[in-house]
Amino acid sequence: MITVKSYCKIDGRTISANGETVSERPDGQSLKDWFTNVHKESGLSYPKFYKMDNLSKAGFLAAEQVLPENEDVQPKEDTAVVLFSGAGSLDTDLQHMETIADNNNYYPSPHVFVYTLANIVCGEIAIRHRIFGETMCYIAESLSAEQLYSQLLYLERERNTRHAICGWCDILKDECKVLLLHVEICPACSTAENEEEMSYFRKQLTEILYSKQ
Amino acid sequence: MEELIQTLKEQIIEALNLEDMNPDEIDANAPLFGEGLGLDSIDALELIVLLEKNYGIKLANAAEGKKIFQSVAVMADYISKNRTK
Repeated sequence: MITVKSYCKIDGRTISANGETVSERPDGQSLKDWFTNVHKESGLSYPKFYKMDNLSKAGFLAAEQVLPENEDVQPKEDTAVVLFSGAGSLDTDLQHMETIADNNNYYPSPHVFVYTLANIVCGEIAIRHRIFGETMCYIAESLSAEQLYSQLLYLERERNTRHAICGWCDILKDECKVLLLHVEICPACSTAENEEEMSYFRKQLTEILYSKQ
Repeated sequence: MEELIQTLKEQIIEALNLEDMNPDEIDANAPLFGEGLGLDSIDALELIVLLEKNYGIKLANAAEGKKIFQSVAVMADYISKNRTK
C-alpha cells in the first residue's frame, strides 16, 4: 500500500502544504524573486539555493514542506525521488540559448548550463535531504497516478524503497505547477495486480489535486 | 585600484548569484575558494567567463586561474595589468 504522508502544491500564485497556505506571490513579482523571498523567510541558510534554476528552486522549496523537520541530517538509503515534468529543463534551456545566440556576444554561463537537464532538481532534493536511494525524472504530458504508482512499486520491489519524494514539477517562464508528495510504501501489501491498492492511491492523488490548497 | 575592487565584488556577487551577500561583506584579501567565500568548480568557470566578458582577458590554462583567483585583490591586480577592455 502506498500512503501519502504529506504534500505541497505550488501553482504560481500560492505555495501550500497539507492544505495550509505557506506563501502567496505578490502581484508583479517574478517567480525567481518570490522563491528567493520564501527561502529567506524560512530562515534556512542554504547558499546553493541562490544558484539553482527556477525548476530546482521550486522542487527544493516543496521538498522542505513535505519532509519532516529535523530529518534532513539522517542519510536515507530507502528513500527515492521520482518526478514527472512537462517542460523539463526547457525554461533553463531557453536562458542558455539566449547567452549563445549572438556570435559577437557569446558568453554561455556555466551556472545556467549545469541546469539544462531536468533531473538536476531530483539531485538537488537528494543532496539537501541526504537521500541515497534512486532518483528519476520523466518527461510526460501530465501526472499519471498509474505511472507513478507503477514506478513506486518497481522501486519497492527492486530497490527496497520504503519512502519517496515524488510527483509533478513543472516550470516554464512564468508558469509553475508543482505537486510534491512524501509517500510511504508498505511492502507487505504491494502487488502489481492489486487494483484496490491502485484505486486507493489514485483516490488520494485525486483528492489532493482537486483540493483548493 | 579600490574602485576596481569594489566593481569586481559587485560583478562576482551578480555572476555567482551570491544573493545573501553584499560587497562590504567580501574581504578583498580572503581566499575565494575553500574557506573564504567557499566557491566551487562551477564558480571558477563563471569567474573565467567574467574575466573574458568584462575585461577581455582569456585564461589559457587552469593553473593560471588558480593563481589569479586567490582573492578579489589578486584578481583586481591581474585585471589592471592585463585588461583589453
